[in-house]
Amino acid sequence: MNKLRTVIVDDEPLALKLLRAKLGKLASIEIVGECKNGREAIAATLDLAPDIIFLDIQMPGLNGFDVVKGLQSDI
Amino acid sequence: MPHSFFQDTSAVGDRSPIYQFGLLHIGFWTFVSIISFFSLTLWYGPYDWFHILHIFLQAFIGLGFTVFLYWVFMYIWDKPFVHRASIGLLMVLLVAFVWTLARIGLFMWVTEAGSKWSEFGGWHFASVFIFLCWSGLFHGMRYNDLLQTEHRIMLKAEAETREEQIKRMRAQSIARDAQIKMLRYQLNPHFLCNTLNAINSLIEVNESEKAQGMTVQLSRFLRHSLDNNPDTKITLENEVNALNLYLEIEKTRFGDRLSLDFQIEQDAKLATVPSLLLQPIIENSMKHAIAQNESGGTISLYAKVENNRLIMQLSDTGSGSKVAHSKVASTKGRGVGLRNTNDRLKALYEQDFSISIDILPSGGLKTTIELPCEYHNSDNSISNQVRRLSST
Repeated sequence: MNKLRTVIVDDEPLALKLLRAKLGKLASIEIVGECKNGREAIAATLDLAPDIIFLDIQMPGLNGFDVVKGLQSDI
Repeated sequence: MPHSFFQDTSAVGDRSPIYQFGLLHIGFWTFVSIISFFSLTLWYGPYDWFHILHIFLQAFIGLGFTVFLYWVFMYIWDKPFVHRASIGLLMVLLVAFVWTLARIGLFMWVTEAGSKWSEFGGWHFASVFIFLCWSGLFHGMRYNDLLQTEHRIMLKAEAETREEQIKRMRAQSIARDAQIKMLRYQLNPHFLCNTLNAINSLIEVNESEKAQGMTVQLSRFLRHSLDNNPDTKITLENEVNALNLYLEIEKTRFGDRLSLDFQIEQDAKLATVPSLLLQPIIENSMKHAIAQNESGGTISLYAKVENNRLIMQLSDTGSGSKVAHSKVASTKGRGVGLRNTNDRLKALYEQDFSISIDILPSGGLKTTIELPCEYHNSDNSISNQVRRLSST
């Protein structure tokens, strides 16, 4: 069975760590990328083409909605 | 003490003595003279300069008598009513009698008419009424003025009471507002929620020591908030310790995105500040600068004592993404916090403080607070320390 390739995005390191720990317990998830901000998230998504993105909304710079908008115009 | 007519300005309300003299004496005697001219002189005989001269002279003498009566009335003013009435009436009769003698004698001398003494009764009768009239005028004016003065005093007292009441109500509402705001500061639910979430995350990722540490920091920070009322002053050193508790908690959340630069001079450490004065400002920096900036930032605190003033400078490195061009843009969202700080300092120091904000080239915000340099009267005070040092 193919694992779901996942990118996680959160500006707070502790939140990222929590997400990693929670998702790590799931056998069907493979975390392929971790991002600290919106710019990194867009780059990682375009680069890695993940199946799932866990995207924080409240982030400095580009927030979660900005990232979605950016990805929609890029696709 | 007898009242002198010209000196006693408070005698009749607060009207000037010239006004009183004008109305009560000159006005009165002018009136008497005019009535006398039209009703006696013109009525009884042909137009005669001697009669006019007589009217003028008798009015002049009468004026002297009313000035005397004024003095008498003022002198007995505070005496019991019976006393005043009897002395007053007696004086009026006496003055009327003497005035009648004077004006009959004057009439015979000026007009060179024969003896008029047989008409004394008629002349005296008029005199008594003239002086009674004057007494009536005097009392009317005086009571009217007293009434007006009383009324004015009453209105003034009423206005003062109302103003006082408004002031008190305003002060009470400010105090209550400040208290509510302070309670909010002491226990910001947002901060508490974030911290508990962070502790939960730490437990989840099996970093129990960190979770424990954070719990202890939170507990100590809350304890500090509870132990210190908004109006208690603590040393800057204690304030910074509390700030560090708060910032350590935030550091766990933000990791290396938050860096600190605290430089507090030794004498500033012992100076006192209102408890948790700086925390809301730093919380603002966390919210508007560090959390908004992808690469985080630095929060700086410089404190020193200069010319017996405690100067504290708090600054952050801004949100980075958008360099604020105006104070309005840069202080957006921080206004309430700054206003609260200002209100609180005003309540504690009145005018003896200053708080100012500046925008740094980095886009960050610098808040400068200047307070009178005060020390606790305990063993911590500088003078005691100096004494201790010099005695050893």
